[in-house]
Amino acid sequence: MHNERRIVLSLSLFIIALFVAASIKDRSFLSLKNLLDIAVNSSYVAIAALGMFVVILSGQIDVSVGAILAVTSTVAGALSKQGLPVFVPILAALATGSALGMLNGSIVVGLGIHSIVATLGTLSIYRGLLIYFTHGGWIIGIPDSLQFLGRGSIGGFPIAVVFTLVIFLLIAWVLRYTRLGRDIYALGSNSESARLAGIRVRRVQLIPFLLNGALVGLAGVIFAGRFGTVQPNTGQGFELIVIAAVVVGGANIFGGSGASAGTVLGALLVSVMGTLLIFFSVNAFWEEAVQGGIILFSVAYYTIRQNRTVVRGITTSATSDSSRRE
Amino acid sequence: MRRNKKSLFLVILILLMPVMTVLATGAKESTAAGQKYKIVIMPKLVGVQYYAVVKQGIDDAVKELPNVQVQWIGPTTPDADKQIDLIRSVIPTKPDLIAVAANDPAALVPVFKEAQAAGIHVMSWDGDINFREAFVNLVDYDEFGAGLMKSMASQIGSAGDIAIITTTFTAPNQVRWIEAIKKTAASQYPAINILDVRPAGEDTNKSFQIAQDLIKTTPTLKGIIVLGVPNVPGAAEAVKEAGMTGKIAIVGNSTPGPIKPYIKAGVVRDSLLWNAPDHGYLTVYTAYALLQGKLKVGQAFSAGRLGMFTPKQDELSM
Amino acid sequence: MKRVIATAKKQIAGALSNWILLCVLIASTLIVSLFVPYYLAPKNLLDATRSGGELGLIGLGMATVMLIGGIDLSVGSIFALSAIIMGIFIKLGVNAYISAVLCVVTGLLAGTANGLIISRLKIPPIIVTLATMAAYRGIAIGLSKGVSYPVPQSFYFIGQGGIFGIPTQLIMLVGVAVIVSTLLRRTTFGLSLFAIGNSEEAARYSAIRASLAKTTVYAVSGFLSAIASLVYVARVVSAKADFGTGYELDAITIAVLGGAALAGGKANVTGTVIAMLIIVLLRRGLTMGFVQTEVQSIFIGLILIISVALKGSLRSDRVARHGKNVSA
Repeated sequence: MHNERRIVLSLSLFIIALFVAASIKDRSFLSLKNLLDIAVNSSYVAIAALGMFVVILSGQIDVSVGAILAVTSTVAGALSKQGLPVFVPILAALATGSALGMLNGSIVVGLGIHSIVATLGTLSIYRGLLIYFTHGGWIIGIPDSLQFLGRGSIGGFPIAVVFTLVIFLLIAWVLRYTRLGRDIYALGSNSESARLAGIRVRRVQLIPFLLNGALVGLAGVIFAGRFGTVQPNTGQGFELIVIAAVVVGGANIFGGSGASAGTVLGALLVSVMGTLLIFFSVNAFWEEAVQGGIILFSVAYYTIRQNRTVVRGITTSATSDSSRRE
Repeated sequence: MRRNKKSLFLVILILLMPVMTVLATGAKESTAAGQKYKIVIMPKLVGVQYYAVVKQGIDDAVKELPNVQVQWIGPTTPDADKQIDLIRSVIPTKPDLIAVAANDPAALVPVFKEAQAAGIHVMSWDGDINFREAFVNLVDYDEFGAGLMKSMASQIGSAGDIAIITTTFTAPNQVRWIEAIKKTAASQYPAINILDVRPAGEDTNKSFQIAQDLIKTTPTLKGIIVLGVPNVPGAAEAVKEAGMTGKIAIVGNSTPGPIKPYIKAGVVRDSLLWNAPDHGYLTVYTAYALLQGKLKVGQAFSAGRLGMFTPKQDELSM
Repeated sequence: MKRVIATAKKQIAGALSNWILLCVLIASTLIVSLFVPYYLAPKNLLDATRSGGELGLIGLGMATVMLIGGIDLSVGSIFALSAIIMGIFIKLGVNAYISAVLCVVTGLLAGTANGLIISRLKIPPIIVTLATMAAYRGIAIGLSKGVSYPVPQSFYFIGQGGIFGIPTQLIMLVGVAVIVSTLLRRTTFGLSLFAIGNSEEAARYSAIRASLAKTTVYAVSGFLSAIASLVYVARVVSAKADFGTGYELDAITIAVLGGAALAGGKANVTGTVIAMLIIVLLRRGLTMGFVQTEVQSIFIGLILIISVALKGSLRSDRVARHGKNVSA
């Protein structure tokens, strides 16, 4: 817990430092509009990242989220044009996302396959199926009712940001104050001990996948609603962005520790990088290199700090696990 | 018990495979007896709206040409190496002609030479290759680039700052267009500055973000030329949302669908595009003419509903 | 140490999984040949292995990294960067063979950098290689600005030639496979990798230089990626920054299919090569049958899941050793 607070603190300071530097370069960076824009642009990444966070916490990973995003936003878009009340496409997207997530989970738990492999497989399958059924056709002219989610505001606050905050609070609460939350952490730390302690491992393991799918579905709806157009081949590389967000947010990649606040901040940092690069006038050719460098730097920074604060002989569960797998 | 359920599940999955194979290969154009030309047409990638539309044009042409059979296959991502593998795999099926929209003009040369050595005619469309018998261009690169630049100039005047949003720096068509845009700007509108060129992939969202940021960091920005069909609505939305409609011009290449609401809102005035289905249609007819030996520089050939076409020195444009 | 070596030798009994793979290979080839004319011709099948050469090399590197429980997502980017460096030097007028050496050196350096960051800074490999995946490719794009560099024809033999009709790529791959296999199973160093993969604590107590091993392993992965890049560049006679996108996923697929375990401790060179053949031949067959590529992806995804599940259920002594995998 203590460690996690440190990370959130370090990360916040880092982000603030970057923002300040950017505003020195260009005053308009700190304008309300810009900050809100950044928040909105980060929102759907943050939502998906929270889902991924829970999966990683439980000791697994899901690299098929890009495909799930594409499928759910296509479903939402297609249904929204049928003239049905707006909650139908939203629910459908959530349901589809949950189903796909559940499928991922079942393959991992039921067939006993490592989650990277399982979700690599389902990534190909979901994308293949999507293209097969849509032939790549775009969905154009998505009605305003759906666009409300991606673009509308309540009392000045963008809806997407409100959603993100609500989900963040919900997840943080579940993880800290419920039995389920503790079980998930336990599972990620050491699934054998968890099992011996009486936790229904198979059942608990499915939930993060289900949740992740649902959240990606929500992200898909927001995504579909933003521009009035949905492309089925969207979301390429999305999984890496989301994983980077979680990792930069300080979660232990092997599971067992991490703070949801860290994940949200991580999502913010990862999303805002593109903007920062424009504000700093970084030559576009070097964009990707700089992004990789920033991720490396931020992770190195607190991994080093973390290692330094480990008291010899008494280690937090995070570090003892990480030493096992390098 | 758990073991049995799992095994059952696996068995079902395994049985699925041959079934899928049958379904997948069975649903192909049937080979009728008789002198049919087998043509393989390969887009830059599949699974995108644009090429789905091009395919429609191809299907139209096939309906009109009874002794032409077309197989359509392409990679799921616009990678040259995937195309190379696909072309190699296609060669042993002994088609009469392969027409490829290349993701890279140089990388596909060796495999094209191989194809030709195997007795297959080779041509390119959309994306050119440095070694082929014919090339059906979308639209002349220089013309298109100049057209975009001219449209921009007609909206912002002959002086001002603009930016360009492209897809990726490695896509050859993009490179040629940007070159053409810069050339036109340099020669005809020297007072127009191209401040920045940024890649947005084919991501509407990314294009939106980039446009948003450009608007914020460059108060003198008067226009953005946006290349890449998915990118145009993104940038247009950014202009609209920033309340800069009418103050910042957006010019791009977009299909009519996604851009309609923005034209209505006055954000976008011109969108330049070529006729995608016609491009596919023309490619088939060109291939047919080539196979019949009727494709020669300066000699007109019939392209169905598109009329007569005369190949220029090296290529054919719509 | 003796016990550790004994455990390593038990891994060799993962030969059973190789037989399964071989059966899958033969079965799928036969099934496909029923539907696709011209497929079963030896020349066709051999030709298909050309593209497999690069994939196989990268897959071997990945399998080695996975042996110690790591992962390398940057292989595709190292592939591209090495190619670009070579292209740049050739453009500058440097002798083609020296440029080729520089290409390989780049891969070695990039891989070593990965290894050092992972072993010294103790950052988990998935994160490091995720970042270097972006960084290395970014450097390739930054240096080349998207331009394609031509490469002299003298390279063509590597990419296109063959000996007695067997493609050079295949020969190269088999050669490298034999070398890697020997290194892994017959040298102390190689066996120490098995030890580390199986239980790092034990390895540490045995005073095996874990961090040196780790760095080496990533250097090897980078090295093999660069060689693969050399072969590829020879095949397409050009070098460009967008080469190799997505190769990391393919490499993981064949490494895992071939028998590597993500938690470490297992590596199977033969298996990896057979897995590569399965994927490559299947793709060739499906393409020849003009099965749409998106459907091909579905096939490959299914095969991956099925094969791994099959292998898992046949192994009766699967213990959730690291507490990470949820076993049935």
